[in-house]
Amino acid sequence: MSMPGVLEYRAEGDTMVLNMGPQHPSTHGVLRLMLRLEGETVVAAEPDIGYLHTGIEKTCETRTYHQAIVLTDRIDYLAPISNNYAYVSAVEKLCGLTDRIPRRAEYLRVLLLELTRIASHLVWLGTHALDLGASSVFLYCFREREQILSIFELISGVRMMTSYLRVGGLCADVPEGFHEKVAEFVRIMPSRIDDYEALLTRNPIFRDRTVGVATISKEDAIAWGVTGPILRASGVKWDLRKNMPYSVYPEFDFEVPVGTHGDVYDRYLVRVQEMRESVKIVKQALEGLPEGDIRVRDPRYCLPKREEIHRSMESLIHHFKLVTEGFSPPPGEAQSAIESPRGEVGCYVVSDGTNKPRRVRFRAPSFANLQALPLMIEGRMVADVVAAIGSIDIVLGEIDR
Amino acid sequence: MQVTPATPAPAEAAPERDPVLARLFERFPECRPSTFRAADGMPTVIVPREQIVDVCRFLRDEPDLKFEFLCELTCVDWPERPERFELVYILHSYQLVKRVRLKVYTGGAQPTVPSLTGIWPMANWYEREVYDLFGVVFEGHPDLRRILMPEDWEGHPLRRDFPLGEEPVDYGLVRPAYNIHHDRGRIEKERRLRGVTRPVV
Repeated sequence: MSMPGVLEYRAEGDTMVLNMGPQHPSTHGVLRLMLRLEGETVVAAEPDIGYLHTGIEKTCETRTYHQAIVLTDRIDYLAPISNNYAYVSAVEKLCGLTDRIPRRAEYLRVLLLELTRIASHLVWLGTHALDLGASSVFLYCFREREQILSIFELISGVRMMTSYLRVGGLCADVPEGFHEKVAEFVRIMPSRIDDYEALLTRNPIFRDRTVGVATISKEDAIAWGVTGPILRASGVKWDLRKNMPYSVYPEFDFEVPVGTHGDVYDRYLVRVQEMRESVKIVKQALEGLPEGDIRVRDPRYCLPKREEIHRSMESLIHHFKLVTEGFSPPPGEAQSAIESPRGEVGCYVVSDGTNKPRRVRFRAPSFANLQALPLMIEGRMVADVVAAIGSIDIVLGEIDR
Repeated sequence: MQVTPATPAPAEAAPERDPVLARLFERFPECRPSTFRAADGMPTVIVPREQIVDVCRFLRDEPDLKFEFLCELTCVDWPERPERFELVYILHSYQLVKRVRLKVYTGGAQPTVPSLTGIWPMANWYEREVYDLFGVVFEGHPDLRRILMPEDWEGHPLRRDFPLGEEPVDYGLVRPAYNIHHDRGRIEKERRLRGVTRPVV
C-alpha cells in the first residue's frame, strides 16, 4: 500500500518504514509519525497530522464573538486560558477596549495565565519524565497540577475548560477563599519544584537520555518558526512577555531563562526555570492585586454586572441584546500575539462589521514546532524520537484545531 | 450604567513615516498601503502577487531590516470581491522588534500564489494548510497536498460558501423524523384522528 506522503511502506535497500502512532502512548495525542529506519537509526521522518481536526476556526465564523470564547479553550486544552486571552485581546483591539481594561481584571488575567503555564509545564514534565522511565515524577506533577485545577474550579466551576475571560475583562470576580488557596500554592510550589529537580536534574539515566539529544541550532529554530521554550533553549532570548509586552507584564519582575545547546536537556532546564519564574509572577500579582471592577463598563461590547441587571432596566436590555445578538466591532483586523506555555500563540481576527467574526485564525506554536521535529531526529536513534517528541511538548488539539 | 467614551483605536502607522514601509515602497513602488483598518496598529502592505517572493526576500535579507521570522501565513475569504482570497503574511524582525503584515490577493477558478517555501522552510505546512482549507494553489511548493483533512475530502472547508455540515432542521411541512417536538401539535392531531388517546410525552 502506498502512502500519500514522501515515505512509502516499502523496504529500500537496508531500510524499513516504522509507523509510530496515531495511537501510541509517547506521542501525546493522536500524532502519527512515519520513520524510515536503517537498523535503529532514523533516516527520514514524517509527521502526519489532522486526526484531531475539529474545524474550530470554521465554527468560530458562525458564532457571535462571545460564543466563540468557549471554542478557544478547546484549541490548546492544556493551556485554555492562554488561548482565551489571545482571542479576547484580539477582539478588544478591534473594539478599541485594550487601554480601558480595569487593572484588577488584568492582574487576575496575568495571575491565571501564569498558573496555566505552571499547570501546562507540569503535565509536560510528568509525561516527559514518564516517557523516559521516571514514573514517580509523573505522580508528583499531577498532584500539584490538581491543586491549580482546583483553583480554576473555585473561580469558574470548571477544572479545565474555564472560559473565564470575557471581552473587556473577566466573567466574574474571584470568590472568597481564592486568595488563601493561591497563597498556599505559591508557598509550597518552590519546594515542590526542588523535589522534581532532585529527581531529574542530576539523574544519570535522565541525563543520558537527554543531553545532546535532538538538538536544533539557533538559525534553524528561527528559519523553521520555532517559538517558546525550544527557541529559548537554543539560545535566543525572546519572550513576548518581555520583548513585546502585553497586559500588565511590564509591572512584574521576572527573568527569561535561556539555554545554550538547544537539546532536550536544555529545554527541560528552561521549562523548569520558567515554572519558578511563573510562581514569582503569581506571587507578585496576588500581593499587588488592586481593587476595582473586573469588566469594562461599556454596554456596546461588555456584559453589565449581574447585580445591575437586577436593579436597572437599561442593564437588563443591554444584557439581553448582547446575549441574543452579540456585538459588532467596526470592520478591521487585529492580531494579538502572546507567549503561551508552548510558544507564540497568535490570534488573528477579522471583523466585517457584523456580529460574527469574518475570520478567526490561531497561529498554534505546536504546529510550527512539530514541523521542525524531523530536523531534530533524523540521523538519531529510535529511542531518541520519544525524548524529542516529549521535549517539544506538542498538543495535538492546537496543531489540528 | 455609565458609558465611558471610547478611546480611539491605535492610529495606523502613516506609510510615509514608517521607516520600514518607506524602504519597501522605495524598492517596490507597486506595493501600496492597505486601507483596511488595522486595529492592532501593524503596518500593512498590499503586495502584487508576482512580487511577494521578492518582497519577502528583501525584507528578510536586508541587514537593517532582518524580518527573518514568518509568524503567520493564512488566508481570508471574501467571496463578494472579484479576487476573493486575501493571503495574509505577518513577518517579524527580532532585530527591530517589529512586525509587518503583507497581503496578496488572488481569485478565479484556480487561485494561485507563489510559494514562500524557498525562503522559509516553515512555510511548507502553513501553505499546505491554506491549500487544504481554502484551495489556494502555491506555485513552486515541493509537496502540496492536504494536511488536516482526509486525502479524499471534497471541497475546501474554510471557504465561506462551504456549508458547516450541521444536520439541517426542517421547520416546514415535512415532519422531521428524528425530533417530534418540532411539530408536536400536528402529531397530536394525527394521533387523535387515528384514535390514539395517550398524549405525546
